[in-house]
Amino acid sequence: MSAEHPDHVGLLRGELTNAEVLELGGHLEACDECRDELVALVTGHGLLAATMRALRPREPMETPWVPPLTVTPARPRWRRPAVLVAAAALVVAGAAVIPLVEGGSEGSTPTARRTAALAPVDGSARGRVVMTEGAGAVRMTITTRDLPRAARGDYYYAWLFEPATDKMLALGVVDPDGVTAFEVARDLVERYHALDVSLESDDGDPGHSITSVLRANYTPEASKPPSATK
Amino acid sequence: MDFAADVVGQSIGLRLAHRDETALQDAYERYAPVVLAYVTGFVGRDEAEDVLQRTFLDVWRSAARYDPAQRFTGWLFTIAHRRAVDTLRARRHVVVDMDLARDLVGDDGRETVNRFADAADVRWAVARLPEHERTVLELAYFRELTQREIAVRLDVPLGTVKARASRGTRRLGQIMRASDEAAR
Repeated sequence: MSAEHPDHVGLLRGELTNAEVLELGGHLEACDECRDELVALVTGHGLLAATMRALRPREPMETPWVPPLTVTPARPRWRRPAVLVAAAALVVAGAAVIPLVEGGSEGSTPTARRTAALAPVDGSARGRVVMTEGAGAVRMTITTRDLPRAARGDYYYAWLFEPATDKMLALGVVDPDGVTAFEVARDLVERYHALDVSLESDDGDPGHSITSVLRANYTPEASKPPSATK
Repeated sequence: MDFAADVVGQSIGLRLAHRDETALQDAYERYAPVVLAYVTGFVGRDEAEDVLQRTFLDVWRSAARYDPAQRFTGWLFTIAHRRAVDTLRARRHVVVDMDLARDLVGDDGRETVNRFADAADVRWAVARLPEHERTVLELAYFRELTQREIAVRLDVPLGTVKARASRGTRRLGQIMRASDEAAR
């Protein structure tokens, strides 16, 4: 920022340092011309900022992991309070999983969602994967942020990853600017414990490039971040 | 923003009501990107384009019912909202996202429709800017680049980017105000 040409757009858009904001604020108190200039900008900025917020892609909601209800027990009415009390006691005790196992099953197939944060392996990008249980399949919705633009011929690719064996299963190309979803058979998802996003080159090699940029554990019991390939 | 700002939209609505096919093309060119963003938020990318097409098909079919006293973009996004809800209802396995549900129904749903209707009007005004100003503002607000990053991207001096951003922002406000006053 210079005294002759204060950066009003930078001020409105939050691009200035604290020191620059304070300096410009002090300048505005004494300069009618700059205040008029700022007022002239405010309408356009307000319209653009609201539009930007409306059009920004929706991020999947941060949802805590909830174990799927696998059994709907048929039990006598008089037992229900006791089961609820037991479940409540488990919650109070901080139990992550509440077992609901009794009698025969009935009812429809349950659905559940879980979310895991994609942490940077290399770089400063971030994101999350939302996993939605369907009939025999899991929909894995990957949202990424701040992935650097890939060079010409390069692209981002998603893999299922098993940290214990370094085994990988290719899922597909990831859109660096938004949301990508894959439907994956549940038994396949259960054979792996992490999701990996790598930077790949269009070089004819179908294997992992070893340049991982994001990774997430998606199993609740795997609390430690998996080791990086790179 | 008051719905009076939608004077151009109202004109398109009236032409549609008179079965002017070029009005449908105009409506699509002006509003389709924002309608697509709106429905993508609800149904996802895979089905969004289909919902977009069905929205504009509905716009054409029901144009005779458009009331020119009504804000055109509000009417358009209400139709888009209905087609998005139809799509969600048609899914066999629906997992209810409470954020989504809140955005689709009740006061929040209407508020979301209005926000996107406003966004469509601003996008139209941005499209009216001189190209060099439009480019800078689109990179700044819709790609979320800083002015310094824009200068690198466009390979122009930072001072030039600041000047274009400032002039474009002022001009945008003037265009929207003029549109609003013309409709009053």
